[in-house]
Amino acid sequence: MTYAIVVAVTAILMATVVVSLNLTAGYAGQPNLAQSAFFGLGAYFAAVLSVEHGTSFWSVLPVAALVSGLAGAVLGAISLRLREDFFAITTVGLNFVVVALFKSVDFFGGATGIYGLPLPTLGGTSFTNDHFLVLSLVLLGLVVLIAKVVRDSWYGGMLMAIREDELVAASLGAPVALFKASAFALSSLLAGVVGAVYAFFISSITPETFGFNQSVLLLSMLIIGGMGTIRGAIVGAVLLTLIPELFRFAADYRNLVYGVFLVLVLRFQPQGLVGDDSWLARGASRLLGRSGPQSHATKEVAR
Amino acid sequence: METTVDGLVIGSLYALVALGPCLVYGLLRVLDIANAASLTLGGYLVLVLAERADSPLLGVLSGLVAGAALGWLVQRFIYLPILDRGPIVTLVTGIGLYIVATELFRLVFGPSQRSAHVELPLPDVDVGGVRLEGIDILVLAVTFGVIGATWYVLTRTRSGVLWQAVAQDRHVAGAVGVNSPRVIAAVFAVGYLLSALAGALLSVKYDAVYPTLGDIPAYKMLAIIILGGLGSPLGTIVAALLIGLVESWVVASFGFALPRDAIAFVALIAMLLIRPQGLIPSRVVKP
Amino acid sequence: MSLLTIEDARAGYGRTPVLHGVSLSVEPGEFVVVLGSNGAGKSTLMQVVMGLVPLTGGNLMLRGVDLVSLPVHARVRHRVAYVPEGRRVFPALTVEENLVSAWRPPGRDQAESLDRQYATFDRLRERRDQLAGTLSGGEQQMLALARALISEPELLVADEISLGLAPMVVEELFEVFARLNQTGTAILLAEQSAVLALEFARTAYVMETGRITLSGAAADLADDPRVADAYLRMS
Repeated sequence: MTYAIVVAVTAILMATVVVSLNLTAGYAGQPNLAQSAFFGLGAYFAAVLSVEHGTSFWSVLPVAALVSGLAGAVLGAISLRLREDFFAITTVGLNFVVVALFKSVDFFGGATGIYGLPLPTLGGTSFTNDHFLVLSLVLLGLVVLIAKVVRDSWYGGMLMAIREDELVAASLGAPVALFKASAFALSSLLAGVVGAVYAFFISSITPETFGFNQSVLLLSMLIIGGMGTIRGAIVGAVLLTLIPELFRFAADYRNLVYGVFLVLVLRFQPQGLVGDDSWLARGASRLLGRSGPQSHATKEVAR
Repeated sequence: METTVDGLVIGSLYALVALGPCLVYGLLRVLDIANAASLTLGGYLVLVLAERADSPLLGVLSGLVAGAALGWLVQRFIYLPILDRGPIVTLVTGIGLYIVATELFRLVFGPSQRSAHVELPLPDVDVGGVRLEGIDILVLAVTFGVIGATWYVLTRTRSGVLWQAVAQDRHVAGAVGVNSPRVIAAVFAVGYLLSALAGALLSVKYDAVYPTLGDIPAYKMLAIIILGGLGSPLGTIVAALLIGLVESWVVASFGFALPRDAIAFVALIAMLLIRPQGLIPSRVVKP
Repeated sequence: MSLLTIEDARAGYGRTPVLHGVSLSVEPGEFVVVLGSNGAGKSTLMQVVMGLVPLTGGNLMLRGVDLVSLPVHARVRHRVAYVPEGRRVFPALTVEENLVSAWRPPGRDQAESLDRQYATFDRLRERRDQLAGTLSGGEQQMLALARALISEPELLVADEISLGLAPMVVEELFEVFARLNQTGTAILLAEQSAVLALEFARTAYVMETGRITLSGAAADLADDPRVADAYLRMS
């Protein structure tokens, strides 16, 4: 039972990060292979402040948000200067730089990581896994809400316009630079908060946890689920967290299954399993299409 | 001085690995991480044939053949069908392929580091008071020979003109009779072959092969081909040698203040902020 | 047998159809011009012949050989050559490298092939080591034409050769086309500038929104009030 809750909390936290990643990679169409760096910054600041300085869980959250959000804004500013593929590689490199910082700067505790984060407390009682489950669900709900507000706003519409064609977006009156940078800031800020919660949940962190492989995994979750959709982000994250658990009996083949799955989806279903225009989404909208005028609304909600 | 030689050896191996992806990028705007799987493959084939057939040379040769075949398969069945899906899809597909390859190596050859125990009948040489190991001389000779040959083909032969033509305008190149699919296939085959060769040399030099042997080259070569000016072969070679040298010097001077593998990316980010077109801007790719 | 037969050709980009069933033929040695305003589908038709845009319906035959199944580069080996709209020379290659990149018939010596083009286009010889991107518009158009002629085509497919060029240069280009045509090369030319095209061509077609609306001898069409109205007034 405990084990199931641990898996569930992990899946929900991953889904939350991927929903935040969807703001930049999905809506704004920026190749972002650095999300785990921001996730990691949040986690590391939370761990350092709490273990070294005794700061409480609740006071750590805004710090993690601020640090990750600022770092994200910097990356957003860099993205303004660079073409798509140059920027993609810059985000790849950012992972290596951030992991190097975690390993070699004394403040971050070195290569062995940070151990023994205390359990958060609420009204005098220490957190149990059940508390974490509720907290992560609340967090996911909040982030989904923020993502929905962004998606349905003019701001979100302009992010998608930037994805299609920056010149067109600019001609529609969007301040492209500000919108791109702020999308990165918001996306990273949310990832930082989730990182802090994650650090307290697993209670010990190491630099490699937040490396390039994790960034690839996060982007894979979004792509496999369906880039640009909230439901895709959640489905992808849950799927890729559960598959390794389901394949526990064949632990040796877990990563192979993940890799093969990733390549097959990209090769044959690049819009993701439940993304717009995927087999499943088309099938679903066809089914819903028969149920009359309400179908459009249903589809909107399902997104 | 030993540091400089070490840097040159490493740098020339980087160049060997990065040349293929650089040429592929020029043609298709695809950042092909999967190429690094060929490096690991090249390393393992030396090991297997040294153990089973007592012939590391046969291992090197079979690595070249297998690498070329892998390159052909990857472009034909993976990249070409998804080419118009954009750079994120092709980049992540390449990463996925690389993960699959790494896992297959781990399952087939085991997770731990293995040694080929290849003893080369090469003497160490003294050059002006500096002792050079035989293997280093071999690596330098082979890599510079191969790089020179590639360079000659690219700049002095019709094949080089065809690569440039396809890189500049794939569709028009086809319409004036250039067999673009064959040019693409050939570039992939050669690129993977060069990586397999680099892997073979690496496995002999460090006497170690492991499933993730290609990890560091895979991501570093991305930094290198950008530093060199995306799609610029000469820039890529220069950038590879520079990165190799800088890494060795930094590690030798400051110990491990900054992990070696982050240096390429720090250089990359600095470069992008100062000179976004790269060291030697490409003739075919505009930033 | 016709050299090129297009029957009921349909094609488009993505889900937008552009050609709605176009039929047209080119006899050996014939000079055919396709007139039409911007967006009429002329350029798409030329790209369909080369295989740059796939056919979604209809037939495309060269001397009775089905072209549809042949990839772009293989069509050049069947002696169809192409001058794309907007020249599209390889800008970062030299003039000479542009010519070297083109397919040569088997057994042709490279130097000899190049010399023949330099003989026709004197200015290209002078600029052989210059990057094609630095040439003037007229010179680029000549290079695009010379690059196409390296393959010694029986049918030359050319798209908007007069676009953005000075009238004198256009006249010069049409003279080259006329000489080519006299030596037996069939020409399929898409043009907006109708006066010269109708003067030099033997047969003309008029396209509107993806369909052929008029066709006949070029001389007759030049006198047709409908053509005069739509295409001759401006030019």
